[in-house]
Amino acid sequence: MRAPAQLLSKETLERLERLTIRWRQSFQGRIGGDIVSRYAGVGHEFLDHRHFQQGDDMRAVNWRAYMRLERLFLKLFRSEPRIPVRILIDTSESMACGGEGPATAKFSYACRLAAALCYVGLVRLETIVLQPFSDTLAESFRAHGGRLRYAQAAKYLSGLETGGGTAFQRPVRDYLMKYRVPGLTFVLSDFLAHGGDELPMDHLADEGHEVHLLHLAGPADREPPWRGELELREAESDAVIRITLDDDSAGEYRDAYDQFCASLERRAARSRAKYLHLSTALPLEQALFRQLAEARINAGRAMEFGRA
Amino acid sequence: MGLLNLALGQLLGVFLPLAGLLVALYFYDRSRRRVLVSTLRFWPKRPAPAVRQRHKRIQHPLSLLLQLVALSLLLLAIADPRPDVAGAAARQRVVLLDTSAAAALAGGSGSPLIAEAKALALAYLDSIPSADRVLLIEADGAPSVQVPFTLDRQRLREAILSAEPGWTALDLGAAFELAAGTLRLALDAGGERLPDRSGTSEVVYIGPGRFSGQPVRSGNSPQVRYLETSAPSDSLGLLAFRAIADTAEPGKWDVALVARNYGGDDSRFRVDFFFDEELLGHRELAVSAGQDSELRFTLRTKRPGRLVARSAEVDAFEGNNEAAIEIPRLRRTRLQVIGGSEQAFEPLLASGAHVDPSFVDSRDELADDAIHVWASGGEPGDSRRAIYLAPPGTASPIAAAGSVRDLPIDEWSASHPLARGVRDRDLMPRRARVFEVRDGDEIIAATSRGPVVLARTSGDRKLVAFGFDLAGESVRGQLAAPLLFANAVSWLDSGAFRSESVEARAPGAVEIAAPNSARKQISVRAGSGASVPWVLTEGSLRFYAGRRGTYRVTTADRDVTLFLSQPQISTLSWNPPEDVARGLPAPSASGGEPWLPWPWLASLAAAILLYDWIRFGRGRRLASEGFSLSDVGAGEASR
Repeated sequence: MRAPAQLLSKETLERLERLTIRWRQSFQGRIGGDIVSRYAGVGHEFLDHRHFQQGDDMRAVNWRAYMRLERLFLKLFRSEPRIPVRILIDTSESMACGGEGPATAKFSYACRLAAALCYVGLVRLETIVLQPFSDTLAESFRAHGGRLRYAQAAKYLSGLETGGGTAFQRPVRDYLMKYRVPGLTFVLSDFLAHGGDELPMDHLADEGHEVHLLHLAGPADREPPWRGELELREAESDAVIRITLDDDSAGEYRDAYDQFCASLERRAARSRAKYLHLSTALPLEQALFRQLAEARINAGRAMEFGRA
Repeated sequence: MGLLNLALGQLLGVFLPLAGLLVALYFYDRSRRRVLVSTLRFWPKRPAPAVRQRHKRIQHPLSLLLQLVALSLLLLAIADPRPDVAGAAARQRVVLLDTSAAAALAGGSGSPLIAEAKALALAYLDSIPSADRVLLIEADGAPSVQVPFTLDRQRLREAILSAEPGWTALDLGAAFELAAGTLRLALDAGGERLPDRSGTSEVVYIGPGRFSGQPVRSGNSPQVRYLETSAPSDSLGLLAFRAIADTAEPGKWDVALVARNYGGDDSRFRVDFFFDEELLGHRELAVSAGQDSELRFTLRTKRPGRLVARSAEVDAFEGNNEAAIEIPRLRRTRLQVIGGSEQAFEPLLASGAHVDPSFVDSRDELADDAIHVWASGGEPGDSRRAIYLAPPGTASPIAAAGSVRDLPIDEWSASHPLARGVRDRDLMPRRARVFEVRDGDEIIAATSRGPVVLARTSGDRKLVAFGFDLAGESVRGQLAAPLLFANAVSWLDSGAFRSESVEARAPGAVEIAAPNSARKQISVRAGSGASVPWVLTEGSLRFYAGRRGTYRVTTADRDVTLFLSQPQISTLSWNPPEDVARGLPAPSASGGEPWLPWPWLASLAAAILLYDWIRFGRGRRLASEGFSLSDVGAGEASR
């Protein structure tokens, strides 16, 4: 299954400009959290002047003051922390299931959600890494430099395809090896790994990553719409079972699925990760502006949660 | 017991494919659907029960059996089995219900005969077996099928009760022919004579038996029954009422009234005449029993109005006690003479009573709808319809090439209406102009030096030019002069000398004398303006008008307005042959409302289907055999 060619509409992108990506924890070597930095550094916002000293960057000299006072002054700017934002996108075959059509498939939803998060980050001049994975890490895409780079990111996302099974141990190990600088990690997946493989959230947390689990589920994943004699084929392994499904047994299936979601949420809480269950039946804008905002993954207004 | 709608082979031919389809759908309903899912971890890992493995076999034979039984019952209900339908035992019956004008007459009890006929028809329906198919024909001047062969007694009853008497006389022979034709089709006898299958068919005539037209031949039907109503008790009827305009005296109408005595004794009737609701007077009319009598009188009126003849005799049937005609507006041709004197034109104008002449001095007084007569001596102008008398050589619409003196007219165009009846070779004007002839001009009269009377038609313009003064002293006294002038007026206004008549009479076949009419001169139109088909044979125009209404007939020389309003009641009574059965048949053992099993069959099929759905429906079936996921959920929760 391929990602949809049109990910987000122009109106949705305009609305996304009001959002920003938040994080909670302090990162090693970075000014932490939402605290505005009082230190001078590389940035855009003017902070102060000081006398020029040997070895200072000549580009920061205030030449207007020199012409007037014949003394060299150096302009100081407010330091702006840069936290890398990385989005892990599950591209396994199970992501192609669960919907009532290609539009509500989990993979399409994940690509559109990743595009939205990418655009929000680009608007705030963040660096966004799009990292697909299934049973291994695929080639990633790094987007930075403002909203003008969104088109390239969208093109990259539109080119993604589902394939392979879901595994977490090896991809996470490779991920930690590849990205040693801790940052914000979004995992967009249905977390339905074959063979009981589970996401090692503890490893990510121990390496300093702030993890957000966005659990995507199609309508049929929780509420099977079929009844009667069924031959069920698993998308990733081609395993087959034959059953007879009625309302009562469908209810039992739903309970089992809910228990799985609850256990996933508990494990996330133990690993200081954030967990959010998203149904693909929910419109994407509602998920972005209501579900994610209520989970405090993004902020409703940039000014309110803006960073120095 | 027999099937009404389907034969047994047809029933099986429908049942077997449907049963096959039902079985196929049954297996399809119980076949597995293949579904691609994200994971199997929440579904049971144990194998499906053994009964699922052989899902291609019949899992609920009773359910399939019930569905097949319900299907067969539904098809049987559609086939409509009847206990008394047994092929040859069923008969075809044709009911001829008399709805002619005679059915409106009162019977012995004082109620209309149509009510008696309806009651007899309903009684006849009740007396015949319910399996007999019945066809209903309303018999009048043009018999027509109202209800085709059917077993639906309710429909027949409704049609019988809604029948109303018409205005035409009964054509009983045509009604029997129509009945025989429908029986031939029903018995599949083609164009052959009906086979002598005693008891397979019957034609029943119900009515008073008053008919007209050809003698009745009912022998082509195997069995005829006559259900006679009581004899009509009408005493007097006005058959026709007509008025013919006098061509010589405008406003004079020759009126004639024809009445018929339906009673058994000679009698005298008084008829009152009204004109526009004002009583004109009354006349006594003596009519012999069963005979017609005609009354004539003259009516003079110059205004249009409604002339009504009303019988003072009150009898049980009022439909023919009155006759009315509309006297039309007096039609006169307006003539304006320019430059002439009344004294000079008096001999010419005396020829036509329908001419309304006036003498004017100025052209400003000319009216467009009048015929202009440009007298000799003046300078003629241009008109749409005009007669020019000795116009000048120049400044005239018809140019003159010269003039002749004392030269006789020796050539007449006998075929032209202008020269109709003129053969006078002695007509010798003292002085006459000779006209130049253009394309389209018609020479009416000529001397040896050239034409002296011309007719010209150009679009809607019609001109007649006389090279001599018809009103002059040398000509006006001659015999041909008034005739020539009248011909000219008649040619310019085609309606000037036409005869006109109005007549109230009965609908049906109409015959009007049209001896001098060509086919293109005849038109017959109904009051709505629709053209009515007609035939012209041996100088008689014939057409059929089966409904009441106004019809306008135009022939070469007549305008006839027909008000077909009088009921046509014949005095001829049908005397049926001896082999014709009379009276109602003996009530059948299977008469009355038949027992119809199809609603019960359909209800039983619905009940079976409902039981099958409750007992073996998908929800019930799955609920009773569903699996449990509790162990799977518990395992997942423990992880």
